[in-house]
Amino acid sequence: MKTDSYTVTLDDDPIVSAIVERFVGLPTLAFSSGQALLKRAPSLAHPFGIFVDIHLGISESGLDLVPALRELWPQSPVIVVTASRVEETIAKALAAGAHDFVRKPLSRAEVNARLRVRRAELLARAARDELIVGDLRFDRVKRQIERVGQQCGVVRYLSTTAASLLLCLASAPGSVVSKDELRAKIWGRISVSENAVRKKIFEVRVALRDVSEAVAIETVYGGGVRLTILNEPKEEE
Amino acid sequence: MAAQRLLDLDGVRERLDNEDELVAELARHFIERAPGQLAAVEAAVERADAKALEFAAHSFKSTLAIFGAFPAVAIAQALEDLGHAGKVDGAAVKFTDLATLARQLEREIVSTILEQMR
Repeated sequence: MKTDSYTVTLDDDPIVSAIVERFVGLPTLAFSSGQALLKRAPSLAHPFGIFVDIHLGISESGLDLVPALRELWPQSPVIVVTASRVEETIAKALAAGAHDFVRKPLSRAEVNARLRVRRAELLARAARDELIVGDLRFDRVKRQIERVGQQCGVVRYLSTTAASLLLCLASAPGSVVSKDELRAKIWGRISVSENAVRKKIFEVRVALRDVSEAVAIETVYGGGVRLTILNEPKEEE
Repeated sequence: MAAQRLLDLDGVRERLDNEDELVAELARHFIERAPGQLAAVEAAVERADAKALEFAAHSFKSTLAIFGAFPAVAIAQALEDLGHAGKVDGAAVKFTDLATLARQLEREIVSTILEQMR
């Protein structure tokens, strides 16, 4: 299934899957146990949304899976489905990381409203947290870089300083940033040696080389460094 | 005080945007699933297994709630609460009431939804 072209339901009652499918208007991939879902999930594209029942069996709770599902599919809202009228249940669901909840009996208007609002929020947040430069996706919050469009490709995690350095360069690709400017922006008033700056640039350079074919740090002799994007016209100096 | 209706068919139709086919699908699902769920509640009561009672009553409550069967939902909730508290005292009486309502509900669903669809 393609990204966003389906929803996932985790419920021991098969009718929930049928109802969600009709309400949302997308095919539903139904699971009745958390184990089955977690086994299959890594090979699946991001679903449009995930509906998780709290009570899956005598000893299984859907809430236990919420953190793993959020990690696997960060752009898919996790909506908890519950027949409970107890507020504490809802509080537990939200504390477990669910983006929202719907109560049984399900209503078409409520399911769609909650799903679409939460999804729009997640997409907006992702757009704020992410910076796309050339073929590179840089997640500023996770300090993670990866190639655009490669869901299971190479991922590199940057140290806080390396991430700040990349952010500084990626904010204006092609612009030369002097080492003094880098020092001021990244380390502030902390005194840093030339060698330390060079090492940090090297660290980012290696990470970029691991994940990207088009984005690299270029040294401009006597000037500083800049982020270059191959196959993109350079501005005249 | 007027007795609560066995099921809230208007509410069901409203939640499902008056989609008759989906209402009928849910009705068939109820007819198929309810007897097994009720039997699971009964078995838990007979075994005096509070944990199983909590789960079985909760599952049945979800199915009943689809049809806004509030009187039956209230009894299922009471049984679930008993089980959650680790108790089964009085569960047998509540189960008898639940079984009676479930049978009435089944007849009503057949006559008001499934037979109308034919």
